[in-house]
Amino acid sequence: MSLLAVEGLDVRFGAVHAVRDVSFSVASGECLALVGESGSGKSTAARALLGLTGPGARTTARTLRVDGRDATAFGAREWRTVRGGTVGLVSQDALVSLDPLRRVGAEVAEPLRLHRTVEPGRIRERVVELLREVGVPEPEARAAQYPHELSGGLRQRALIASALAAEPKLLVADEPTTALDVTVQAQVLDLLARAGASGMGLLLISHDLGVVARIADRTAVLREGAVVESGATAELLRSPRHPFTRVLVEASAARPPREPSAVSSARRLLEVSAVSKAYGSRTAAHGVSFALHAGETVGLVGESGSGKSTVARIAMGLLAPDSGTVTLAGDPWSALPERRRRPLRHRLQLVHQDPYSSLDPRFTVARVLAEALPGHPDRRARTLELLDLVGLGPEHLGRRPHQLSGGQRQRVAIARALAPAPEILVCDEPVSALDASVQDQILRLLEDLRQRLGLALLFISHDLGVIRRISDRVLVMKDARVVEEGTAAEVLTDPRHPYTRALLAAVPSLPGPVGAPDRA
Amino acid sequence: MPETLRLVPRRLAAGVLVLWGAATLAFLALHLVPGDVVDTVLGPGTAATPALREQIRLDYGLGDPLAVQYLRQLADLAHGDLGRSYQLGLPVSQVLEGQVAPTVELALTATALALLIAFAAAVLTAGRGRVVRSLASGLELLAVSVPSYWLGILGLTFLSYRFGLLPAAGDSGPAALLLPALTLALPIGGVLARVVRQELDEASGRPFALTVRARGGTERTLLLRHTLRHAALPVATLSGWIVGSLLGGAVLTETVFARPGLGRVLVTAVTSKDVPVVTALVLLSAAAFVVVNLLVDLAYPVIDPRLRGAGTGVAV
Repeated sequence: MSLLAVEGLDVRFGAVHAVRDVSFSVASGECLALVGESGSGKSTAARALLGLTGPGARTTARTLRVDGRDATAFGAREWRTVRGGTVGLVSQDALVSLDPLRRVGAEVAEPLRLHRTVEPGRIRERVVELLREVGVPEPEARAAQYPHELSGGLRQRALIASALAAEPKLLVADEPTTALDVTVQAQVLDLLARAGASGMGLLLISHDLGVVARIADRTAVLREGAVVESGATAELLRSPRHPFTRVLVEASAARPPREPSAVSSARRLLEVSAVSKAYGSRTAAHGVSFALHAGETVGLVGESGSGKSTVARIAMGLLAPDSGTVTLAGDPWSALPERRRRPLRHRLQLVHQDPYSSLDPRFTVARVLAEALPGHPDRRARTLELLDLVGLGPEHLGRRPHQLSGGQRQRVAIARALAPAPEILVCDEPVSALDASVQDQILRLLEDLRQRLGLALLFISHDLGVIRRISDRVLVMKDARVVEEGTAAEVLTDPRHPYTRALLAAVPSLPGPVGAPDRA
Repeated sequence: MPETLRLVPRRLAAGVLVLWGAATLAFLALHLVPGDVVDTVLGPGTAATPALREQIRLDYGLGDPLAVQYLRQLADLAHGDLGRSYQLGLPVSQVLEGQVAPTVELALTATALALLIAFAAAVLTAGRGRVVRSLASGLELLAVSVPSYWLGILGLTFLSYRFGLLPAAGDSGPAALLLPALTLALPIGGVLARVVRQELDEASGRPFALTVRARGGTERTLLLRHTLRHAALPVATLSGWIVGSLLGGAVLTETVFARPGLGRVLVTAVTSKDVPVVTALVLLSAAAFVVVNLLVDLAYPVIDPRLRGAGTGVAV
């Protein structure tokens, strides 16, 4: 019997029809994935299963059966027994989904108290047991700590432990690995897969087909609130029928490293030599050296805290290294006083991770770009030229950031970076806030700009898939050091350092158009 | 929390600086105000012989250069000597003696009432429909906007004179305290209620609140175990403002209700330009601010563990 049966689910927020006639079911021990891009309605659909779409929503369904009970007739009291007791939710963004003012142990214990599944005297014991089961080391000590004292991976585990505490039959996991580094992500996915093996049903919500391929038995693809395609995961990923599914699969398929671009001139634009930087007792960069030539892309990859952003800021001349030097086209750069560096700054420009916060919400596109062109003789012509370079048109000039899509915002941010005609573009996680199909477009754009303008790119990412697509050479950082360096083909197909190998193995990527998905 | 406690000596040192600043400003204000201090000492409408005036000048050291007077005053203050009242001829400490306790009593009762009003109003209305919230919001606005002396007079008119429920004046026991404390508490409670409700509403929209609801928690669970503590933070932040309101409000309230206390002493001292008393009260207020802010700084990490120093570090 299926644990969960949904037919004709609709959720409306006023005039917005967020979920349209969605049907799916989950059986014991089965994992169903709801896949879609941001705004596709997948999280809303998941919350509807717990009656938690919120006061502004109108939720209707022809059938909504949870563990054999008709949930369309549920009152507040019945919903409360279902929440946590029958259906556990691991909500999006583990980093903020635990109450920051309460101890981890109290958070994990809450479902136990609410559902009275164990007697009060045994709660402490059970909490420690739960934390141990989800792979939290030193569970007694962790239970006494606060969420902010735990790493992202541990917080995610604690959140999963709290969702599992009252032994629900179905676990709804909403983007459970998005905020995590790939190696941690792999461990959390294994944990969820194990929970499924013990007979629990799992509804996985994700934008990442790599993650889905790893643990989902069946997959439903959502677009604009409606299911466009569903079926067995392996089959669906191998031969997607709907054009939108094809775009998704295409965008997340592993690609061979691209041909290294011919660095004919071999002109060294930026040379970073043995730079180190420490914040107090914490070393953020140690003896990092690399060179960036005109027209090439150097990918800098590492997990959070590995020091890649510190290196980027030192390269930009925004942060002074404790030791080591940076030179720009053979001239001193890091050693210059800021007063003398400022006139040269136009040669290096930065593209941020989050275009929404790097653009002033009150500025129109025209003003954003005009600000980047101080004293330009023909601002309007140059503005249009810049927009054209990034694939936008004059119709975008009057728009403000909130009137643009995520991809368009990042295009504006790139146009702004191109305004002073730089030789080097430093891109700090420029696509990690974007949906896969949009990521693809932005990466193409950057590649195109590199070729047309002869730009040198220092490309920073935690995502090996992205690095693989765009880089000529790759540097792998771990614990403030560069542990491996080489051409993209060398590093990504034949890694020498064990850490690089671990990173590669952990990437949940699709195996390509042929072959069965790599199931955990 | 050794990290937090380590901050105490530094904050106390900073507090001494604040007191020094307050004393200096009070001293400057005194000497910038036009008029002869001797007239103040003599009181209004009194004629005195030049000899008497000279005697007073000598007694109070008013003939010395300003710098000397200033240093002497600081030295006296450092020894805990607040000087002598011009008007009453008594040491200031004696003037204030017996006045501190009624004001502190009034202020503490008012604070407790204000917090009670604020949290009760916020808890009863947070997350409710538009009508309830608009009504509560309107009442709070009224409580904030109405001058407290007028509230006091209203209370006196109805509760004391018309129905005889509460005493109208004096400081005879808790019954006499209730009306003035309520008068003082209402405007503060009105502001705090808005702050608390806003924080409750905001906290109940954060991701962790979804987690609590998804565990099967009721809105009451969410409130009592989670969001109420979040709402305590902005209240702690407003403590300085509360102390200010209490001090300012005490002046009016004590006058309207004919209660003894520092507020009344201040009114008398200001109207008669009794500068040593005013200076002492300025210092006392500054000290109250310093102590309350220190207590708030100590309370923050108790409420919010994320503020407990960087010493714990992030575990991996």
